[in-house]
Amino acid sequence: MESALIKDPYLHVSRASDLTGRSRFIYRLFEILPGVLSFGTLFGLVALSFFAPTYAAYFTILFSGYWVFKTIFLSVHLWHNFKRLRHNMEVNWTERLSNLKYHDILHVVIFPFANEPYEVLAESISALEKSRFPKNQIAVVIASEERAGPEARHTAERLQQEFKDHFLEVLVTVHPSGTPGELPGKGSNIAYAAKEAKTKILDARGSSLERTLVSAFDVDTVIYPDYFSCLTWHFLTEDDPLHASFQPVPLYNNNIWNAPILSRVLAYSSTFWQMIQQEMPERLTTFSSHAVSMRALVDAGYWQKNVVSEDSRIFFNLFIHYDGNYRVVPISYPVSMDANVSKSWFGTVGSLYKQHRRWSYGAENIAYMLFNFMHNPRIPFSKKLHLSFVQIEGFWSLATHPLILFAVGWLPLFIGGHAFNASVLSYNLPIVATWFLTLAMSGLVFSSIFFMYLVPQRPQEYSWRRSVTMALQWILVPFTMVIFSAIPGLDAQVRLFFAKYLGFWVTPKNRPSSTPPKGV
Amino acid sequence: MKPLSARTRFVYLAVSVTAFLCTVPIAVFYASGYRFNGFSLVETGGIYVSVPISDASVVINGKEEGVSGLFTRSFYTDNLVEGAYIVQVSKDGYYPWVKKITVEPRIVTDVAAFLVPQSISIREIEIGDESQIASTTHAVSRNEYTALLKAFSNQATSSPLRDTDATSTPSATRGGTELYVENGNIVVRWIKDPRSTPSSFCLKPSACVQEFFLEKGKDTVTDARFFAGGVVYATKESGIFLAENDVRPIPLVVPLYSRPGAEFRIVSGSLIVKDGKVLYDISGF
Repeated sequence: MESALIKDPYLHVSRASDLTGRSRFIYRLFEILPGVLSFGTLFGLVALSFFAPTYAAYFTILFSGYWVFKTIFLSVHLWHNFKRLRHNMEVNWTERLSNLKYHDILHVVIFPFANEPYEVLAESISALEKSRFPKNQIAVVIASEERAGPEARHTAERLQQEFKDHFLEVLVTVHPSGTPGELPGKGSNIAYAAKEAKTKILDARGSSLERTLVSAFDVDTVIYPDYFSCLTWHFLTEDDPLHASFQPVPLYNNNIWNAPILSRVLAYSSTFWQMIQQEMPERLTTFSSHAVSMRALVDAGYWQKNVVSEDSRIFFNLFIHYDGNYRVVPISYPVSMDANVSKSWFGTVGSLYKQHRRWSYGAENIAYMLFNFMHNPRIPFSKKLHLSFVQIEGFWSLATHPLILFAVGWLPLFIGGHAFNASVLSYNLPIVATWFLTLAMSGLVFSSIFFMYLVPQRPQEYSWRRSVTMALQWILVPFTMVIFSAIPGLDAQVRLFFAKYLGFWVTPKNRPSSTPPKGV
Repeated sequence: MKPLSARTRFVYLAVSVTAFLCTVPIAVFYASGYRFNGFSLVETGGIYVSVPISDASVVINGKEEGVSGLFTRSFYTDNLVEGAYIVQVSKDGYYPWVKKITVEPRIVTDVAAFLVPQSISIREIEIGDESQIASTTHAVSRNEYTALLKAFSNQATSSPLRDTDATSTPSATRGGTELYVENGNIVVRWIKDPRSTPSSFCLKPSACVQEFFLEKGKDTVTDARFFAGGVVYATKESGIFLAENDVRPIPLVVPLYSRPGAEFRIVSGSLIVKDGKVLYDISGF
């Protein structure tokens, strides 16, 4: 890690307050940038609607049209990835692996956990046990937190006892609390766990860092039997695999039938977005459960311990450390996770909001990326430009587009004044915009079809009505786009704007009864 | 199975961008009112008709645009080239309403249909029990009757025969519109920002006035009030009328009580007429 920081002194910067002087000022400007762009866009449109409603109306029509073609364009990618995902689920990866030299590959699988119930973690490790990949090449790390208390420690040790004979090793790590410079949360925990695993598993056995893949899972990540075979195949066949992270598709199937409607829509919206990104690897960053070589982790000093978005930040750490020679490889193979469910409906709504705010807080990577780009002349300018555009546009569109489509874009009708209200344009604006939006929303039919293909079979305790609800749930998307995408997106950007930094928030895992994932 | 190739994705992108560039300008021109007429592009306007009741037929230049319903109370007709159009709204049992509307390019002319029922009920108001008197009579308590009489003892807001100028006190105000009784005529004035003049003050969208005579005939108007979406007024010579508050031809005027010298007041939303010493309740609209 020290060598990484000598090469790139700002590699583990988390926020402006980590810096001093001019550097701090510049980093603050970059932190402010996403909020300025998003609020500038929205306030600009409000002003345009008031002072030049005709131009605002033209913009709304143009934007609605842009949204239609963007939706079609992205839907094509989703469709292709859906086919690829199903294809990959049918491939016998173990057989394909047999043509490759893979017996020296070691998988270290980290499950970070705090206070989650035993059953959640037991199900995840049990799925690992059913993997068709040789278990003697899989080491499990149960990464517990000291702050979670003795009960969590007891859960970890119980799991260790139960599963230690089924894998190469089951290691329990206890991340100490109160370590200076750390943000309590997943990043600091898995960084500690990975370092411990290197010492106690790899170094102890003399295993190669270059032949070890570390999977940073969530506590609820349940794999499909061929996952590690598929991952290993991609690792072995990829050019320059040490400069790549490997990204599966997160399906939220563990509890999808038990999840409330909002939770289902949001969970699979996230899945579909990941599936689209899988067909656009140049835009892909690591998200949630992902895999990376131990070599890369050691080179970059493991996951950053002082950020909220450690899952995406590790990509930027490595991209900067390797001077732009780093990428994410989409493996188009799923892992199953929990949809967000709390004990009450309102609790779930609150959790969903906080979860999406945490994801949107990935905008903290913009300041980190731009600041490090300034200090790393070895990264080609074209790569800097492309990644900057992708990231800035991504967080800007997340926070603004739903509001433009469903609220701000219609403002000329309300504040455009008498002259505008008497124009043909004023009368036709809602008609034409509605055509476009209806056309765009008709794409939700495909979402519904893909969703019904991807979810597990309906459990017996649910009637056909539940299936109908699940097919029709997608009409909520305009609502969820505003409430659980744009608003938390703006919330996160406001926090960065005012330096009211977000802490890590653990999504609660409540599973009344588990539904095992099925093959797609 | 491989991810989408860069070439395939470029083709998708090119097709999407091309479709966007072809479609959206057409949508913008369409929304602005441009239409193809043969090989030339013409600017069109529209008419927006609001209908206050259900089951009324809306006809523009002889072509039925639709029939109003519980949730369909307005009709927007676009693609109209510049010119005059006759809008008719009719329903059995109501006075036919006809309006000549001038359409200008890229502007929507709005108009509210003024529908008045033909069967207006005129009932004498008496003190007594409703169950013991004829159906042509409206029974009220003694206190209510006294209150109605008292309403007539108050002078109407503006002096009916007074020579007044434009700064006189209006007889009635609604929104930005004021009613004045001047020299025995009714003047309607728009007193707010001229840029927001309602279409009822505009012979055509580009020709709006700030005031117009709602009644300027040989009869002498004594009082005028806003009522039932129009203006109710009394004349010395011919009784009481309900008129449409719109400058555009042909304004609808309906006689309500045809005896000279009658006065009216609007009491708690009801139109009360006093003819000599007798009070009448006029209802049904």
